[in-house]
Amino acid sequence: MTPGRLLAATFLGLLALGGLVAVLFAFQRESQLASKAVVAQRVRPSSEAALFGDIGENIGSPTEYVIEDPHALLDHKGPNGMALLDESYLEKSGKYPLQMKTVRFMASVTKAGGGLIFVVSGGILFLLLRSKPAQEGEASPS
Amino acid sequence: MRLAPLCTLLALALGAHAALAQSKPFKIGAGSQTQQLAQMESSADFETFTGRTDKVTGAIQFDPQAHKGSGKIVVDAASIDTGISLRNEHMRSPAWLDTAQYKTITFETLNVRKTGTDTYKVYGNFTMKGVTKKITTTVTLKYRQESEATRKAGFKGDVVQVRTSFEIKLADYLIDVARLAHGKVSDTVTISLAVYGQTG
Repeated sequence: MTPGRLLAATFLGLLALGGLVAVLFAFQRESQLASKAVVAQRVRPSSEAALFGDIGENIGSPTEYVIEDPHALLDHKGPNGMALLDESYLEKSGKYPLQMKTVRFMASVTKAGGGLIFVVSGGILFLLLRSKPAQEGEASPS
Repeated sequence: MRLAPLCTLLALALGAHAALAQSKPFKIGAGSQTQQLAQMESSADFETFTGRTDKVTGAIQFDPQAHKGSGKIVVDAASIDTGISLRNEHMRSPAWLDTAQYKTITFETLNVRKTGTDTYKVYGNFTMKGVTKKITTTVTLKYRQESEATRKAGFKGDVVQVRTSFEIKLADYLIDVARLAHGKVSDTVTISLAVYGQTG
């Protein structure tokens, strides 16, 4: 194999490997974060709402969040046992939990991109390795 | 003979006045701003985000006996915070809410009908970015007469808690999401209000 072909094959091989690693990483990270995901309602506790028998005001609608910090969860439960996230705590800590929707979106993009890189670079590498190198005489007919 | 219709008219007027006298004026935004909450939630493919503000004012007339009322709620559009300063800048820009020109978002009732213990079907005008559309929404209104508990919670006088939530299409209010932020902001957003009015 000529040095040029060897260099190209190495580059394509690394590219294909990178694509494959990206796909595997996306699967692994998505599954790891999904194991911590909980459908929760953000709530801003207030004494005003307590007057009417509520814990506080709901912020947004119930969403699937990746809960890394258990202190962000309120002891109370919402309707149907739904987890409640303490908005005041989140504001103070400045750490908003990741939405599972965002994780899935990013994982899908990574899987599609990594998969495409793997297939294209792997395909070119396969063709490169299968093709016979041009003979010196054939390459320069003069 | 001629006095009879006049007496009837007078009786009707007095009766109407007595009925109106039961209606109490509740001020929204009279106390701590944190008592008020207006939200706008977008649920797109990438993420769900909520823009919200405590700067809500207005007035409600409510009769706790007859369960009748009316009101107007005004939201300071420029103060809506989405949690990301760059997104806030975009939201205030002319292509979105254009808060330099249209400073407030308002909801004014036209018709209120009781449907449950604390629930009402409310028909009213919703105005955003200078466009007014008629909407129908379900409102939960809870009333508390002035007491030690209301004073402890920081209120003056009688208190009402008003909550509602409804969806609007941004395109109806001259906001072209498809051109501006397709996939990042949903075409339809949920408007939610949780406000407290007090008579004191």
